[in-house]
Amino acid sequence: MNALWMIARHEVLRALRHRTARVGMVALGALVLAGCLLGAYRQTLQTQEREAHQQLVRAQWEGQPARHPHRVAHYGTFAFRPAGPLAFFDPGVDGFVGTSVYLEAHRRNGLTFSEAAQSGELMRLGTASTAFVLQLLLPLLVFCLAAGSVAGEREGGTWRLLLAQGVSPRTLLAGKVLGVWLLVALLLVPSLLLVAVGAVLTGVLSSGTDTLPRALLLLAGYGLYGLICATLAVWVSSWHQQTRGALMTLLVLWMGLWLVVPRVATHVAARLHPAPSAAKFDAELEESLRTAADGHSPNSPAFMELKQKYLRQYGVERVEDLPINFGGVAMHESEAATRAVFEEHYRRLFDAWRAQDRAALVLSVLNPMLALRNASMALAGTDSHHAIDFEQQAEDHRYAFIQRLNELHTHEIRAVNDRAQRLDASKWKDFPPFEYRRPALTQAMAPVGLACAALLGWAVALLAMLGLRPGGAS
Amino acid sequence: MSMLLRYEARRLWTSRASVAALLGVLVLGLGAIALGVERTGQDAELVTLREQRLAEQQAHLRTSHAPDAELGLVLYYLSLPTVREPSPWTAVSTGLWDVYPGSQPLRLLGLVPQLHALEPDNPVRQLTGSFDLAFVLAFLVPLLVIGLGHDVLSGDEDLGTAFLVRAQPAPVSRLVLLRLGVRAAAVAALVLVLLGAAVVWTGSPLDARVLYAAFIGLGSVALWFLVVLLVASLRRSSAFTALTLVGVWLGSAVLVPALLNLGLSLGFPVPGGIQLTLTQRQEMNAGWDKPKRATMEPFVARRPEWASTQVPEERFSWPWYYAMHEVGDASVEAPLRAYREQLQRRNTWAEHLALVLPPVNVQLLFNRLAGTDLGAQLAYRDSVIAYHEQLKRHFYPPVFQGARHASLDYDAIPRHHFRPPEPRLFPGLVGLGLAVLALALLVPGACRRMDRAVS
Repeated sequence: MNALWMIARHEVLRALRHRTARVGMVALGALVLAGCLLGAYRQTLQTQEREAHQQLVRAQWEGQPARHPHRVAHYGTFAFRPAGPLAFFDPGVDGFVGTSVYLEAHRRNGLTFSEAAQSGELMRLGTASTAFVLQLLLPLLVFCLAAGSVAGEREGGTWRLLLAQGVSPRTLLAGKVLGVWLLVALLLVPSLLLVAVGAVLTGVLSSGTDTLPRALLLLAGYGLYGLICATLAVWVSSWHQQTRGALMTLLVLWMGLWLVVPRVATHVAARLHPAPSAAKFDAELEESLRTAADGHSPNSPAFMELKQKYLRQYGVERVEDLPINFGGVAMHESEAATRAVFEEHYRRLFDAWRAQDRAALVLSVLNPMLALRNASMALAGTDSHHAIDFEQQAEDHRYAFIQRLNELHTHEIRAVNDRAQRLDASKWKDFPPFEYRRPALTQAMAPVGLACAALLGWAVALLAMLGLRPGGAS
Repeated sequence: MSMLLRYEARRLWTSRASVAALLGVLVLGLGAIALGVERTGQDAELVTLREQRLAEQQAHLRTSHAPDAELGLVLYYLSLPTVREPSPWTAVSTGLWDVYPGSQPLRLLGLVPQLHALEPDNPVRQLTGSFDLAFVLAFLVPLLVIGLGHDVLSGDEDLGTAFLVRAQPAPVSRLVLLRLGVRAAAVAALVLVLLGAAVVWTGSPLDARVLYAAFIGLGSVALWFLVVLLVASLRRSSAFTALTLVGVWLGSAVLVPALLNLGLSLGFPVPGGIQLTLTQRQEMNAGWDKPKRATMEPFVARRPEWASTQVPEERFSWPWYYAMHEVGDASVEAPLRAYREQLQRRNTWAEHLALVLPPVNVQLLFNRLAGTDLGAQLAYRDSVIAYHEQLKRHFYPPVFQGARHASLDYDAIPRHHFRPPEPRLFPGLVGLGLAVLALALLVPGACRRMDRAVS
């Protein structure tokens, strides 16, 4: 054990001797902090803007004059998507999902005004976020630090000396990994601690009940990621006689696994599980919607059966004799029918996306970054599952208030001269405002269990491979 | 010298790592073209799908609405396609193509809520970014250049042949230039092969764009070899040179663009987007609570030709309904323009900044060449706005004169045509050329540094 620590310490000192390494570490630390600062600024702005808008549409809703309930249903309202609780650390897909959705009668609208749709092409080159820096650049730094861990000792002739002192090659390699990993910790722990304290003090980090476990899990995830990168680097280094060769191999690996594989993986996943294109989605949706009866024409034959049912139920002969307004009933019925159509089509769409994400995740066997990225976004509350969850909650809210309006239409608007009547303005205040309930931690993590397993698998597999190296490492 | 040239060429050709790297990028480039062609193929299918859908919709409207139905009611349901067709070069550079809808349906109703609709798309795909030839040329080829060139001088130290080099009668700089020249020729050939493959595969016509693309691709290769030469002339170890070069690449191709994007989005905020929609909704819906006259007055002020229109005050009428939608749009006309200008400003600034940041410049140039840049998107949006106006001019007369469904000639409905504007490549191309020239001016100094260090 003592030998292990000694080697680890030696490795830390060896790496830190190079000025390039020190500069690299400081630069990465600075990027982590800068990313968080910018992220926090952006998240605060977004949250303020979102809350202001949500309050504005609420005030507009309550400020409506006396109106016919169906008029109110067409007036509708908006739902604004809140940023994830740790979006300042990992904005995930936040910038690529619309920020608001218009909720109205008869239609389920999509989210609009995504950040990406309002930015230029620069956004596609990369995001200046801490998570991006850590996911993409941390491995590069680790590779540079650790390329010489074994190969450099060989080059300098010190590897034989170490072995001659009776240290087992396995301990040597383990010590090297530990040393590199300690360097990662030396970089991550202080900067992330600083970030956490700053975030709590400035109030960016809401003191929600599960914020702390989320942050701790994130730290564990990135720590594990650092370990994976360190092990990979030492393992590659152990195959080389010269630092330069090891560095080249690692750079090629980085370019291949970190730059190319994620892009290719999403393409492959989209091919394996094709989601309907927008035009196809619209076309199929429109076709299905044609089968649903239009609530604006309660006399249409489509409502015949329903009409008979109500006539029987109230024991009357004519629609005019019903104690309720059949116009509202028809609206209610047609809203339920169109809702079912929308649910079905959106479910298929979202299922395809989920299948794509899962397939891409399976490819994370090739690339630990994909696994970490998924876990990180889930913890930060900024993955596509959260985006879908928001969309679904907004839709449920839409359906609930539209149907409530249709019930008002049924019971408080008389059938005679229906359109000309209005309900008092005080009615609108009774409608609950839209409140987004964020999924709990367990719920958020459920879809990315595979990603967590993949991360662990990578760590175990690499450590095992390193354990089998000693023969060759001598 | 020619013997040396042959020797260096053979050395490159027999180096397993170099050949593997060149072949690797070739395979990736070809794969990227294949994926791009597949993607634009799907886009082209969408265009046919929209047409088909329009025919189906019109058949449905013909049967679902009686000939004596009010025309206004039929037009309420009519949805017309606006189409932005991909060009062959779209396959080469995705740009913002996957963010904005390539074609969006348009109804005669209020324009503002329709204008900013997004296509449903898996956000993870957008986050990851597209794997296309522009990505290979702008991001991976520079890394290939670094891999091939970083040890141009220090490699001899690594191999222990430095003393042989010094023993040469020719100055070291000549040898270094020769070596880099040979390697640059190999990479340039690779880039040309890839672009040639792209032209053939995408079926792009052999016009000026091919030349521009070649200029951009080769300019980028020249630029990165010059950077390699300048860093190598510092005569540090191979590892140091490689790390410095990767650092330069990382900074200029990934980090600085990300920071610039953030800076632009904070410097030119566009809160206007959603506010436009909110204001328009408020104005439009207020129409229902006001006397009809209050809607018609501002409408007539905009379109005096309908000053004589009489709308019944007591009941719903279609002329009033469409007027109300137009008045809603009109209420946000100025902010809509401001919003567009703000986006345009962001774009212009990105273009300016790209002039001093060659890797970004290369990417933006490819996007502009492919018509997938923000400028092209804004032009498309303008064409949708113009088309909406065209539709209104076409349909207002019959609707205001109380025409019936029977009078609607479906085939005479104006159709949307969008010709993407000629891409403005000149400043970017000049910027790239100047960047190469500026670096080239530093070469004599670097050569002197290398030769001095030896003697």
